[in-house]
Amino acid sequence: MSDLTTQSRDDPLGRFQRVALFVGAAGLAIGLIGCCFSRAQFFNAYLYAWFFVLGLPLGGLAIAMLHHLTGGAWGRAIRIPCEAAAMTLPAMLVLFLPVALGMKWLFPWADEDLLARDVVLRHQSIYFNPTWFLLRAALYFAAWCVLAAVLTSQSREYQRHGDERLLRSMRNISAGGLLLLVALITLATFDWVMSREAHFTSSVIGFITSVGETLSAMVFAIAILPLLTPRDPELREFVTPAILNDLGNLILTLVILWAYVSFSQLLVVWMGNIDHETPWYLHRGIGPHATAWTFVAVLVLLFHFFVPFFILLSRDAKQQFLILTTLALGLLIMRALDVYWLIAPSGADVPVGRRHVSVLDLPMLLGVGGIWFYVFVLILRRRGPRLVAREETSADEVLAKEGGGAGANAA
Amino acid sequence: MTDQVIQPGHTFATVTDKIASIVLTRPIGRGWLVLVVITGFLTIMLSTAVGYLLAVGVGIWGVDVPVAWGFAIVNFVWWIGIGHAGTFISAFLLLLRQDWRTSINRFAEAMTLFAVACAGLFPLLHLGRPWFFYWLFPYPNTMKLWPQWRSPLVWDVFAVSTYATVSLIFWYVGLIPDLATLRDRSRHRVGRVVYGILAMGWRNSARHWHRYQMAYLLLAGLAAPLVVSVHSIVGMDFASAQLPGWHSTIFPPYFVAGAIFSGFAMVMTLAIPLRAVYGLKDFITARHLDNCAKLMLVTGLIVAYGYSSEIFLAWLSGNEFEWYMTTNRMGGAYGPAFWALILCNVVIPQSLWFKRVRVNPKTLWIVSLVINVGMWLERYVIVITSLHRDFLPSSWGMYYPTIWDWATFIGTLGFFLLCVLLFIRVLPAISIFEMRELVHETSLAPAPAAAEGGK
Repeated sequence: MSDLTTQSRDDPLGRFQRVALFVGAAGLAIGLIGCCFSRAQFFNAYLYAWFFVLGLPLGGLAIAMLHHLTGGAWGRAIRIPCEAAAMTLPAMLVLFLPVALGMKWLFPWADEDLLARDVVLRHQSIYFNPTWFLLRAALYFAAWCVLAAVLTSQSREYQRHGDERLLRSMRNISAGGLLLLVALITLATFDWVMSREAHFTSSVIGFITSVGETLSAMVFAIAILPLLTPRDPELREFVTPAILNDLGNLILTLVILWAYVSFSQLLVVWMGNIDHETPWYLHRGIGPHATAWTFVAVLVLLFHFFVPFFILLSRDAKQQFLILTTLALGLLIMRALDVYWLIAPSGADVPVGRRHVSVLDLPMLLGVGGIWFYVFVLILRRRGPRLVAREETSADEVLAKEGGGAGANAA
Repeated sequence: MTDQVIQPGHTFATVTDKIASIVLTRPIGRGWLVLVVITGFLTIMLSTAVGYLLAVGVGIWGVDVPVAWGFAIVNFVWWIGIGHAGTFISAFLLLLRQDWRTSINRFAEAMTLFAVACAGLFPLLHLGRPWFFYWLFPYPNTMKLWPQWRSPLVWDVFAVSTYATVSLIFWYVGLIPDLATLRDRSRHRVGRVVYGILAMGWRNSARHWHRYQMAYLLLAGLAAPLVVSVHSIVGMDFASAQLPGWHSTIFPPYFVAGAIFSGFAMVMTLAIPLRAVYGLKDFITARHLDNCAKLMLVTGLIVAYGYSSEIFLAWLSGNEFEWYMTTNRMGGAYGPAFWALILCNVVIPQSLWFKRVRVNPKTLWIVSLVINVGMWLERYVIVITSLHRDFLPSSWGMYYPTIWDWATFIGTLGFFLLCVLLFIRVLPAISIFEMRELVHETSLAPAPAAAEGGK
């Protein structure tokens, strides 16, 4: 806390943290008032907000593990914030509570009337039922939290002492961890997103979420750089045009990958034109008749793909701090819109009273997002003032890079 | 020392000598001759099978309704997938600035070309009347014939022909400086003339190099998207149908991963004997084996992710046809093929988690062979099991490949290996100029005086 008071005047991060807490509290308060009027609206808005925000810690964890595996200077600029984001996972577990309470309003399989009428739902009820659903959520979070905690503690230790044995350990954990992470995000997407429309199944949707969440965390970590550079002069020095170029290329890669897998899913569903799949897209405004969702879809197409794609092709644009961070912030907003398009339209064929678009959606997003950001900054501050991750190269690799040292010189 | 991309002690001259000598001075070995005879024989078998097919028609194959896509499509997908590693190594890894790609890109690209040639043969023959292949192209004609643009099979025509063209150009452009080296070092007049023509007047000038680097980078940029597009469209060939076992949204990305998986397995299958026989262990080091093995592990895991996600959703969907297809795939007439594919593609590749398996050429070679078999089985299982029992029991049937199916398939294997064998003796299997560059970059070269091996 002393940190917070002494630096508050010239510390944009601290100012943002306080604003986030205020906005978060206000958003949640509005949500609670809304909850008195419509449980369905509250819970649906909440699920959306929570699921979007969850992408930041999970994506952060993915980026941290990717960086342990591949190395590269780019990761040193964003890995500590990514690890701090991953450490918010226990808070996300606490924030899962409303989802657990609101199952009845969120998932058709939790609604007994629907269950009685629908053969597919009854078939799925061995897997999709409240007990298993909660047990699975507990399992996902247990695995995620342990992964995040172990990796982050080793990374902190490495930051302090540079012990090479930790490098090997972090790489091993990351190799297996990344595998586990993608598998669990896939299952979680089946649970929290896909099961909202029982008749729709897509084998690639978990992969789309994994890519999307990694992109969310990546653009988040880049978008907050302007808040972090005033705190750490070393970081300010470190973020050179070359680093920005690499980060820009990574965003570009993830944007292309996201567009590719999303378009694959659309194309396969479109060409198959089967009655249990196409409604999922019809509910999202993609079909013969334009709806309000069509507008959202076009926005996502333009600003989640085409605009960043063309901007990021330009080396000049990528290498400018202001342009890249602004673009990252814009993409973060588009991520929020994309997840909204993914979650909110579900259940359009279910009875009135189970609502998807609501005045509570934005307050809930700000509410959960604000609280999350507050916790994130608390954790980030505890990492200490240094925000550039230590280079992960072992002595062997240095030798190899220099071309075998002595032997070669002798020759 | 396993971390090195080139063993220490090499200079520009030794690199040039070592690689160019395989082509220019090394006598023809008995082992090479025996292999050429065997693969030549297999190539003759292929020509016979194709000739007979042209004379009689596709009735000599085992394809029939309901399994109208038999070996031809299985082999097409398998071969085109193998080609992908070449493009991945030469274009993707170049753009990602991975210096270790240098010593394996040349023959991986050559492998791509030969694999695409084998792949292209199958759909062409499968047309029934291959001499009308040009009907697949949209050209004005008096028959009012126009391709069905909604079919991914038509996209395939363009994807594969673009892929073949770009791969060929990329490979050839990459060869130019080395062809000049061979021209300068060749002791026979024929060699000098032939390599001289192919080298297109390359003089090693700074201006040449400047333009060359730019052209090469641009070609890499063009080739990189093709790694994804070709096999995505091949995946769409299946996924755009409504058939259980084919209609799955993960198909495009998972086909791409499978292609790279099988491609790297083929690169390792060829590279490991090559480096042993021609003494190239200094250039294709344990680091290369290790990296390729890691890439196989990753892509193999993506493929496994695809399998499990398909099976789980077949059950979850509550769709009886999807679930029947899944159980039939596992326990039906072709069940053994399914379990063999799981063993080859999912179980055995997990040994690559261990470094000892990755850097040991023998174990890695065996794992690579197993993956080659597994990926062929995968396509076999996808094509055959989905078609042989679809929605209506009245239209169920079995598929049995005939001797001509086998002759054509094994014939392409022979033809592919024959091409590889000839390539090794006629063109430098490792890029000489890029290896010199690598020598320079790893600062092993004592002085640029020894630079021009060719002069």
